[in-house]
Amino acid sequence: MVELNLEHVYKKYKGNKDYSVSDFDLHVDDGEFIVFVGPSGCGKSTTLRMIAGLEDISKGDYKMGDRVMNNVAPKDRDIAMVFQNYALYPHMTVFDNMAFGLNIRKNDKEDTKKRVEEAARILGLTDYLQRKPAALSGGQRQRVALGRAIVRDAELFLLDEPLSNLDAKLRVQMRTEIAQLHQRLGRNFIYVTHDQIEAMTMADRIVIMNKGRIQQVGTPAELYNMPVNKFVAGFIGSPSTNFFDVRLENGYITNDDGLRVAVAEGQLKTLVEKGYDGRNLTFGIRPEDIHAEEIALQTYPDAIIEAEVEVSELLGANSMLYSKLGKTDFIAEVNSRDYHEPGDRLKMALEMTKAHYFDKDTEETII
Amino acid sequence: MKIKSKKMIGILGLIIGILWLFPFYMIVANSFKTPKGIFASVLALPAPATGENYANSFKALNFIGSLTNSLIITICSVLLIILCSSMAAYALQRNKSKLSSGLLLLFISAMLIPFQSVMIPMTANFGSAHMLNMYGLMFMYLGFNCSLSIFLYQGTLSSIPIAMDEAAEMEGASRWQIYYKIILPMLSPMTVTVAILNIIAIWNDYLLPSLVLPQIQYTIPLQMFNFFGEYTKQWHLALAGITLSIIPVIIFYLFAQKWIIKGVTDGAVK
Repeated sequence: MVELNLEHVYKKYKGNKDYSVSDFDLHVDDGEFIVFVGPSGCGKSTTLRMIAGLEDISKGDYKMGDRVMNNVAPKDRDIAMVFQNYALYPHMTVFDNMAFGLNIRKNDKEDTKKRVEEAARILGLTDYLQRKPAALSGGQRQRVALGRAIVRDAELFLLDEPLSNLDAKLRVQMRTEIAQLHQRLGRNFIYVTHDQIEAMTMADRIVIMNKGRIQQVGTPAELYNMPVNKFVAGFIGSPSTNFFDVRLENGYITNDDGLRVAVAEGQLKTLVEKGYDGRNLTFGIRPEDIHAEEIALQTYPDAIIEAEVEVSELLGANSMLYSKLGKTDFIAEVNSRDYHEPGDRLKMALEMTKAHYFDKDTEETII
Repeated sequence: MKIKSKKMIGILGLIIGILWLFPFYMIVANSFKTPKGIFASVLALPAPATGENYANSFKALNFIGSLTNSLIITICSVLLIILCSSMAAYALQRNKSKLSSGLLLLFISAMLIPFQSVMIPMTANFGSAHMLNMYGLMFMYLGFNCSLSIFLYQGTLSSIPIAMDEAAEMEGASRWQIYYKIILPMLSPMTVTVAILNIIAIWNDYLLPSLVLPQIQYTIPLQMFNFFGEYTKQWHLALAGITLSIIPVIIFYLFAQKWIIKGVTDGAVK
């Protein structure tokens, strides 16, 4: 068991003017499942590769326990890594793929066999040990890649978008299997993904990144309920948060384009105290906090908007209403019993206690 | 119309096939004839067929000795070319720098230098280094043939994801182990292509060995020249000798056929 510390880590590639990763500061506790999430090019894979030792750290320290690992070779870091494209050796059988690391380290043959067979049993690969990767399905290949990491019994597991090549159904299944595996092994897992649903469902804590910088570190619930800025609020949650440019006036937010709703009492007090009365700001509300049922309209009489439905998607229990309020597009996730046709004009109630407000210039969360 | 054009293509293919096989027929058929039979009709089937040419050719060629020389030179040269060019291509492909791009360009441009333009000074240099023997010849083959091999390997290597190297590195493999245990086996289809190209070129080569080898190390093509004197040409023995010398190449081809086809078509489709 080991704690990890990334202390003000920077990465700049040769020939680049800007840092690809800036001031990355993170402490990982024993046995934590950490997910790095963010859009493409945000530096999450680069950070993972610095932890693995596949990229040099330009500035700052990476520590495992008390030991600074910056200049330790990847093979000596006691790390197992699962790659996005699995990186299975096509000329070797599943058994040989899984045993490769142990054989290289000249592990006892009997012990290697035992460990590979145990990993294969856990992952349901026992019947496939003598097959080559080409004769396996995508899900089975993914399991072999995981198995190769498991047999090493490393202190730290790094997973670089391991599910991105799988179809949706298999992805859900493998998600659960990886979470179970983490519980079973009790090791540190660092998992990189651009899929926020994967991040939300698997992580103990999520590190959300953008443009090479950490935006927020927290549990999935913290990130969902208390985003620190507009980027996090927009990234976490699916579909993403709706944003409106508004002005706060006399307890109401308005955009002169069909939006005029009352701010919830507690939030209004904070906004006024922080000097936003009469100023422009960004108002965010999640699609699931917009309701079209009659009872909601009655409950929130001061927070009703009238919008036009442009596209309606029936997802089963819920419907997505892609709507327009004046010139602003937004999405409402409503109960599918309140299904509406495109072109319908309907009233919707905003659950204002769950609204978020962001400074228009800094995009930091006000409340 | 469609069936008709298909038939036409079939017939055309058959004609080209026959034309392709015709020299081979000539060699084998005439190798069983007496000199008189050859001059009577080159195209006719041997009547009567005689195996005596093979026995005489076998003796005249010192077939076991020259076959051994040919095999040693070909196998060692090809192994050397495969090892050196795959390692060089691996290093050039994985270390992305201006130097490696420049070196690759240098290797590729070396393919354009005609052998004939350098053979005399090179032979003189090897002579002063006392290397005018089969070992010197192997190094010459390495120098002449590795450019194309590096070029071919480099193309295949670019399709092998770097994640393969990284995965092996994370598992504790050294650079040599990554090359030897992961990369080289993944290059197998191209290795067979490289091998067959070089085997054919080296096995059949006459000019370079004639400049370099002492008589005791003569290969089959050099020995074959004994059948062609200034006044007489022993076609019956030469053709039997040629047939004998083709056999090892055919055996190799049959063994490697699966890989050759794969090597040629590799990467054509996803």
